[in-house]
Amino acid sequence: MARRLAPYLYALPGLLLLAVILAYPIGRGFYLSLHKYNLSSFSPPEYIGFENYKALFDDPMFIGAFQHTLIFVIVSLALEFVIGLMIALLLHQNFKGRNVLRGIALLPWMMPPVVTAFVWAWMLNGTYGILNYGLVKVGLISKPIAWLSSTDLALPVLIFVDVWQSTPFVMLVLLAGLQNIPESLYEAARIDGADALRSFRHITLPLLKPSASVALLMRTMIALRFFDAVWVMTRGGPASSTEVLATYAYKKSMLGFRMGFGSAATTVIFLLSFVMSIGYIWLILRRED
Amino acid sequence: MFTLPFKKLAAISIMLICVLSLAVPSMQPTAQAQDPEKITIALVLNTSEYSVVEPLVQQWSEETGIEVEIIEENTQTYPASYVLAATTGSPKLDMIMFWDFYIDQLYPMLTPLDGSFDPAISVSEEDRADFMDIALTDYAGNLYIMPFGLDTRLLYYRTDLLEEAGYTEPPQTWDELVEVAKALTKDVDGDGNIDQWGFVSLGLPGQVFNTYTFFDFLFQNGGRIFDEEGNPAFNSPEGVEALQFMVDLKNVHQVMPPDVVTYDNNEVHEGFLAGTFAMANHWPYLWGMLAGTELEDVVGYAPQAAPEGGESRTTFNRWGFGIPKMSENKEAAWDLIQYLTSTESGIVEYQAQLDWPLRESVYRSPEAQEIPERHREFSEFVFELTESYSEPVMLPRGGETSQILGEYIDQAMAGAMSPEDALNAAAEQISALLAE
Repeated sequence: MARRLAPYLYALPGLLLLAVILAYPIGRGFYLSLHKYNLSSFSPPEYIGFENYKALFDDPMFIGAFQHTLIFVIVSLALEFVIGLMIALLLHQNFKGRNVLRGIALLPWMMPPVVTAFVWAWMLNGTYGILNYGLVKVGLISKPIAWLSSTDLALPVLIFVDVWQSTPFVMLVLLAGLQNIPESLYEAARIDGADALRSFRHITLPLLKPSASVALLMRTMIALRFFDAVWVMTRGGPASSTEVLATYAYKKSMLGFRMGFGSAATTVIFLLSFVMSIGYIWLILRRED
Repeated sequence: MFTLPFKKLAAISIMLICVLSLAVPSMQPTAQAQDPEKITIALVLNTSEYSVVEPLVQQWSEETGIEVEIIEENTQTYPASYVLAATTGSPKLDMIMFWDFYIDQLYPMLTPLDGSFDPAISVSEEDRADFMDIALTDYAGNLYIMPFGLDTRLLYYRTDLLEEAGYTEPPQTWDELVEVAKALTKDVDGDGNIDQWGFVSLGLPGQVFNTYTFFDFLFQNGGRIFDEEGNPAFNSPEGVEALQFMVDLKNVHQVMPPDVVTYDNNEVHEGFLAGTFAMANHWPYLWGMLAGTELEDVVGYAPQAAPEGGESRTTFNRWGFGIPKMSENKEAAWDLIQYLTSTESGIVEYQAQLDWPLRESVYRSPEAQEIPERHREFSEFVFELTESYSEPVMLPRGGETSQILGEYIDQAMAGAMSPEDALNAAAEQISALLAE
């Protein structure tokens, strides 16, 4: 009996830790989402069922934030994967200075997200940003572009900033995956007459799938919670064109003191993350079967 | 099954009970709390006041022997932090620094400072007479904030650029503001792009940014933010005209840069100091920043322009200190607040910030007479502005209502909604919020 229980006892401290840092906040958030709870009223939470969720989906700002978040996640991930893979393939080749280049390629990822956001915010400043100055100087544009105050450009700019910062992480994971593919497979393919493209399609991509899945899964979870750059660079503007779920939830809960309503928004983020991660894992396991 | 022998289990339980029993009395307030060894205060870090307040706090700590733990807050998050602290009881704050814009949400957690809670915590008659009348005002029937810094808004303008364009006086009407701003919006270096803008004001969507630009124009046009019953009144015809004027400055007259909608205090004052903007509606602290710069002698100040036939009006708020109800060291906290808002501290603040003192005794002090005449003239101007032209802005559930209003103003500035639709939508959402 003791031997049967031993694994559970050994796992108990870790499970308790997970319960405290994971299950409790999530559970508490869901609990609050079912209540009307305004911090500044100093009144206790009042149970209202799913009214917060109804109000959430009736709010056009929330729908907009939801759409912007999905667009951001899909476009960012697609770009990060394609560019990350290209860089990984390049850095997988054997050439002089490869290790130095690998280090340099990681630099954007090493910067804290808030610092990155501040730097890009100033570089992209419509009035005295260096990017506009450079582009006007070389004649690529005739007048400065309002990168962060244009409703058409602000979201693509934020996607660019995120891709700039996060591609090195995807590259690193894919590079590790490439290094685990036995060279003998490529040799065998060459002997059988396969060209580079066929080798890439039939050897590299399938064997890279586990690494790619990990990279995409982790990046998806992080992208769904995208907050730092939005808050620093646009605050969700102009005209809510860059409002994402995380900034929406923050405004409702921490700036508006509406903890119940804000918790409903964060619960939606959690559920979205949960569903997508289950989907990823199922997709991977199904194909491996 | 893994089991503890009963005796061992009982022994461990008894030990735990004993340990907890000894620990509990130490958590009870003792007589020692009346003469605390330490108090905990929260100061807002990214304000011009912090650089003056923090050394004064350290000085008080040395003089009294009371250790002060300073929790540094941020202008964006401190209201939520204070409310959370009051709700959870942690950290146990003895004194907080805040802007009275948020007083509606904070006063339920604050101790009255007018003697109604504790006769020992009361502003003396002598102090009341010394402070500017508008500095010590009640909210919901009590005084909750002792002021350290006052904020109002005025028009700064480049005298040299106006003269160059043929203007000897700053604009006094909205039409004149547009005319002068247009004349001063130009391509200075001949590269085909505007690099000097005629006018700027806060534009970032948020609680205390673009809303304050709008409030200025709203008051100047005879409008109100809320009516006597606490209902939104900013979507009146006067309010719609005011927002239309604000939108037109950017989108029609093009005297503000297109990215003004991303400007908080930093962009406005940095741009003005860099010569990018010829005129700005901004806070008094900018005057102190001009000291010692190239622009020191070529910047003038005036009341903001008003519509034809109207009156120059602006906003008014206070940075100050309050004592949370949760504090167990209220008397020590009150002693600190009195120290920070004393004549002596006011002299230090005036010498450092070169803006304007709140106490008559500071302004008349020998030290203040040593401050250059131009700064004392500025102080007198701001006194007059505050007493005659400003209105306090303390909104019901200010943090929430202004966040909503700020976002709809941003919609109008971006051209996504008309000013009327934006203000009506904001009024509807705010009404629903206040009805909760």
